[in-house]
Amino acid sequence: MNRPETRSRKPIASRQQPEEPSDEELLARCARREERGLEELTRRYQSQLYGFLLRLTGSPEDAEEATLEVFLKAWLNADRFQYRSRVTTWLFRIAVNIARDLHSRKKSRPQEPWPEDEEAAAAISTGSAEDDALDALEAAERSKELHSALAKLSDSDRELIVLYYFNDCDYDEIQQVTGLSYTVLKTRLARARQRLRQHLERAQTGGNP
Amino acid sequence: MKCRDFDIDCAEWLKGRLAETRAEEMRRHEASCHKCAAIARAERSVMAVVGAQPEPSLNADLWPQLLHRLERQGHASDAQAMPARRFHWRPTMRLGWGIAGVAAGLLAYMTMRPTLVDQTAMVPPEDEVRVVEMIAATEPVRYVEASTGGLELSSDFEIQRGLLVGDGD
Repeated sequence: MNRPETRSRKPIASRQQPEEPSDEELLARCARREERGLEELTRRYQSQLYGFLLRLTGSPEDAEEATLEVFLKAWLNADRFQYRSRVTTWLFRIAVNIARDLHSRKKSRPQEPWPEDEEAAAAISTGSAEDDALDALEAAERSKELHSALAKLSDSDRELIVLYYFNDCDYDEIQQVTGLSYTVLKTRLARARQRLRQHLERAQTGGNP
Repeated sequence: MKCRDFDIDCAEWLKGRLAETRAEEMRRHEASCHKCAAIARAERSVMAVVGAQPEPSLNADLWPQLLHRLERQGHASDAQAMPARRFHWRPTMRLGWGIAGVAAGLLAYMTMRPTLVDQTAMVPPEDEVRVVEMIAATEPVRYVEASTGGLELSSDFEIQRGLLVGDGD
C-alpha cells in the first residue's frame, strides 16, 4: 500500500541528479525552444510546485492549473532569465505571482470559501489511511487543524508560512521568492507565525477565532 | 534578551539556524521566561505538525497537458520552426539607421527646395497689371466714391488695383 511521500529537507532546492543536465541547461534549452528541456524541467519540479501551490490555493484544481501556468510562463520567458538566481527560486517566484493573481481574481468574484477542512486536508494527506488507525486519526485531526489555521491566514501570511515551514526556505530564499527586504520579511514572518499559533491554539481548545 | 526578540528568532533557533552564542542566549531566556517558554512549546508543536505532513502528490504527469497547451497556443517547436528571437538594437545598427535617416532627410530637403523658393517669391512688377486684371475679371468690386459728394462710379479696375497694390489714399 502507498505510504505518504516524506517531505524532503529542502523542497525548493534543485532536484537534479548528478548524471542529469542542470536546471540552467534545461532552461537554456527552453530558451532555444527545445521542448525536451521543458519536458525534463516539468517532470523534475511539477510535484514540488504542485504541493506548494496546493498549500497556497487550497484547491487541487487551482493548484494543477497554476502549476501548468508556471511552466508555460517559464517556457515563454526562458530567454529573459538572467542566471543571477537559481532556476528553482525563479520557478517558485513565478508560482507565487500566479497564486497572487489567482487570489486577486477570486476576490473580485463572489467569495468562494477557501476549502479549509476536509477537502484540503484530504487532498494533502492522501495515503495516511494505511497507518495504524489511532495514529491516523490523530494525524488527520492535526492535519485538519493545521489546514484550518492556514485557511484563516491572509494570503500574504500564508505565502510566508508555506515557504518557511513547509518548504523549509531560509530568509534569503524567501526574500528572493517574495521580493521582500530582510527587515520587512523578518517582521512579517514573526507576525504570521504568531497568527498561525493563535489559530492552532484556538482550534485545539475548540475556541472560536 | 527581550521577549520580542525571542519570539522573532524562536523558529530560526529551533531550526538550528542561529549562531551558537545567540542560541545560548535563547536557551537561557527560555529557561527564565514562562511566556517565551510557552512560545517555544507552541513553535515546536507547529513544526512537529508541519513535519508530519505528507508531500502532496500529483495524480498525473502534467507534461502531456502542457504540451497540448503549447501546441494550442502555437508555442511548440517543430522541425521547421525557428527559435523565436527577440529583436535587439545593436549600437552599430543604431548608427547605420541614424546615418540613413539623416541622408534621407537631406535628399528630401534638396528635392523640395525649388518648390519652396517659388512659393515664397514676390510677383515681379511687370506682372502686377496682369495679376490685377485677372482678379478683377473673376470678382469685380463695386465701389462708390463718396468724397465728391456725387454718385461717381469708379472703374473696377482702378479700385481693384488700389486695393491690391496699395497706392491709393
